[in-house]
Amino acid sequence: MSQAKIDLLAGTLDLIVLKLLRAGPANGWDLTQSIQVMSKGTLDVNYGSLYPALRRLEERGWVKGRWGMSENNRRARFYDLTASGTKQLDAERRDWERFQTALGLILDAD
Amino acid sequence: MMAGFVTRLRALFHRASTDADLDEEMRYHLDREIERNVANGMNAGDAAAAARRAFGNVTVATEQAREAWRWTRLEEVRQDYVYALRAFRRAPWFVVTVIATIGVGLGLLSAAFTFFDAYVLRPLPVRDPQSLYSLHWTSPTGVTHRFTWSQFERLARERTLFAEVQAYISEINVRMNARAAQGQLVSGNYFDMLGVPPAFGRTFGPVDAADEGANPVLVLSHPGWLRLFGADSSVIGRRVNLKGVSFEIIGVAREDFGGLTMTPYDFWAPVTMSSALGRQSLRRGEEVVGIVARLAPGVTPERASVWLRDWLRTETADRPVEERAREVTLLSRATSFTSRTEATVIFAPVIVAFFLVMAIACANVANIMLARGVARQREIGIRLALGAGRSRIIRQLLAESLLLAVPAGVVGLLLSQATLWCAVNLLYATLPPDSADFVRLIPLDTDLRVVGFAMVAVLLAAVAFGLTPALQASRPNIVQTSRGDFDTAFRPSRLRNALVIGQVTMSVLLLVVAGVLLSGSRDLARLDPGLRTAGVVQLELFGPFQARGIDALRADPNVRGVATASSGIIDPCCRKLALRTTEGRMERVNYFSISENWLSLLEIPIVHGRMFMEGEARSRAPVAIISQATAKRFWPGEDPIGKTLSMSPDDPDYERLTPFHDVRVIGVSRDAASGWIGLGTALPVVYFPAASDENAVEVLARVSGDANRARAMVERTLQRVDSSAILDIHALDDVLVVQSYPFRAMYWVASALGVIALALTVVGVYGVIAYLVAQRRREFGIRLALGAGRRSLLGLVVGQSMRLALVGTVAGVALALGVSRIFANLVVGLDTYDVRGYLLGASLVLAACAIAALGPSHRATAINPADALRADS
Repeated sequence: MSQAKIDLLAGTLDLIVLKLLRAGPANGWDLTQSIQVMSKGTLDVNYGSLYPALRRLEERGWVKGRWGMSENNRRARFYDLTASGTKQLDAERRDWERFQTALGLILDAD
Repeated sequence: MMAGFVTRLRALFHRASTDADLDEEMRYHLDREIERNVANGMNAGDAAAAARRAFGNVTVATEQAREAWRWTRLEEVRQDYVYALRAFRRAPWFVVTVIATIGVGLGLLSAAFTFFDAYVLRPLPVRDPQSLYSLHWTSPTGVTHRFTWSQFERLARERTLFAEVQAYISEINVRMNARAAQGQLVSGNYFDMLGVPPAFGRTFGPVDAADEGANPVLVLSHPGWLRLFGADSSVIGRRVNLKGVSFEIIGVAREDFGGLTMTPYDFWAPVTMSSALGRQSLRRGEEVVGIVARLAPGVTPERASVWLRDWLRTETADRPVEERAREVTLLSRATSFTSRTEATVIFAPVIVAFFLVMAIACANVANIMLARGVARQREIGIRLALGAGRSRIIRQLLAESLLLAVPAGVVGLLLSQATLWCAVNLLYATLPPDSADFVRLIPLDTDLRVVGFAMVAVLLAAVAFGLTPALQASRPNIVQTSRGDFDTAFRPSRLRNALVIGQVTMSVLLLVVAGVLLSGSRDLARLDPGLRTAGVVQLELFGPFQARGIDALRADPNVRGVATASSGIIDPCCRKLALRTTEGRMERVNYFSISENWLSLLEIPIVHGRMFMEGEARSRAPVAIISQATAKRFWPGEDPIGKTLSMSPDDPDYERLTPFHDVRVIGVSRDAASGWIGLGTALPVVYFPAASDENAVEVLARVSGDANRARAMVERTLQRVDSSAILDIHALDDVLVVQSYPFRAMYWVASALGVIALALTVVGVYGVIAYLVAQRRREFGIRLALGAGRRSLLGLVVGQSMRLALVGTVAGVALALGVSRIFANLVVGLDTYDVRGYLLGASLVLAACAIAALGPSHRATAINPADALRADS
């Protein structure tokens, strides 16, 4: 926790959630843990934005929620990536890479 | 997309269960957080607290998640309407005023639109009306021609462009069951082609129109059946006598069908009966029939008219140049009015006038809403302070407008029907009884188009009167308004003043128009026609009975005199002729061939020279009597007696007037009206002598006593000669009334509109001044306290309202002058710049505004300074 945490860029949470769900179904808790671990503690997801994001993704048909049992045998809501979600992930990923390249070009230009 | 929709829909209806889902999911998350904290070595209490801290406000998180999930908008809309209804319950008079005001404006506008719809927009109730076109052609001189029967028969065989054609001869005027009736002669395929079934009995088919004169049958229209036979269902098979021919009634047409023209017909008969009913025979090669064609599928009217033009040019190639076909026109018969342009010219001013009233009503309501918006500033300020968005406030105020608009629309439609009912009944009640037979309206139904129009109009009005105040009201800054202090930043007064000025302008415009029409129709009523119409009955007799009819009238002791002429004295279609003096001066004049007692019967005196001798009339001597106006035009300042007038040989009436090609003037008569009375008495008129039994179309009988009793008496006398002797009969007084009727009708409509507009404006002015006084109460209190006289305060308030009224009046008069310029040349016989009309309109509005301002002004002077200063704003 020595490092200062970075706020998520607008619109990137969807991309992160979709990417994480590609590995397999997960619940909200799992997702927050994965984000913390994988970003080595740099990104801290605000719970207040994770759940609305999940609702939004579900509403657009990119993920599908269902009730299941967690590893400690409790009822938890799991999310699966749908086919259109996979497509969306690819699209958003491409957009992100283009953005990154463009930003790099601007920042490196001297 | 669909999945999202379903989720939202489910969420909307199962709010409780989805909320529970969300809660459980969040709780799971929180529990896991606590577990992790415990695993990291915290005690249970600290772990829960830390987890909650990390999680943030659970309710807010849930709310945010829910926002993404549900149709919050829809909920808000519901809330807006519930809220509006609650507000209305607190202010019932406001609701009633708004609904009534908009209802009146909309009612009048919808009534006008119903007319427009019935004549211009509504498709005729026939099969596929859009493919029906009437065919017309003109020669190089611009004369419109009809078709010969053989041309019709050949066109009927042309099947590539025209799916079917029908022939017609219009305006057959007869008397049926002792009432005037108008019918149309049509080819045998008429009803089948239009797909119009009979209501009962049968319609005729091609066999009924096979041979000339062979089938005296007729089909009544539904209105004709009602009017002429009182809806007697035993009418089928009955025989009626039309112009001496006995016709059998074989059917009654479907209720809504009155033919393809603007005046619904009473009956139809086969076109082969034309010569029996006094029209040209079909077989003599004259151009007698009009044609309506149904274009074949996919054929455009342009293509058809190009083909028809070429066909007609070949057809008329052997005629003299001026009688050959040049242009062809196809007019759509989809609606009653064939020409859209003509319809627009006629209806546009009327619709605009009604629209102005609606606009005034809207301005009033906008003013009321503005005042209410100000009164609600504190409430709106508080709502803004509690976090309502500006758009939400506007949405809410618009919701109120819409809630007012819908009942106003319903009231408007009901009022429109009532207005139409009254208008139609007034029309028939104010027409002279025997002229009412000639005025026929097509059904004025409130159809879907009218309802749609009313709804669109009222919704637009709602947005107009609702949006301005809504924008104004949502503008204030929160801190000020929640304190209830807003009178410095918020000034809707300019908008309100503009609304009042606009209202005054429109009222002045409408009342000036009403005033001009009023003086026009009064001039017409006061106009001395130069002849005595009282006690004179004008009639047209059926040829074979004419001589016996005139003899019967002469023998009648009640008839004081009988005279004849080639046309009716005041009859818009009187004959015209170009005459030339030996000096070469040329004039177009009205002419009448008259019996020698005709002028004296109408009490038109000879002012110079002498009257015809009886022998001159019998021998058709080449002499003429001219009116004073004629004398002045041909020989100004000279004595016309003994001079000669000549006719030019290319005049259409040259043949008809063989004895009068060169006439000697023997007398000068006083000026009298001829043709249309609106043109006054100064038109040039020439009279030729004619014996009463020849060339006589119109018979005049002077009878003692009341005109209508006289008419009935003349009718009885002629019934004894033959039941079908009379073709047409009127009291001459009634003819005069009918001639000035359009003016009077326009005057009544304009007056009614003007009075309603004025009433609305007065209410508007009153409201604004009353509001103003209430707003400036404290200021007036201070003025009074500082020693201002009550009179000066009165002057202040009245002055302010009169400034508005004056600006509006000047604008209105300027607008009226502009409108007059447009109509000056369109309306014959009306002085559109009539000063009396302008004075009447402007002064009426100014006076009304002054009266409207007086009440609130007095209230201003009655303010008690002590109370006003103590009161909280």
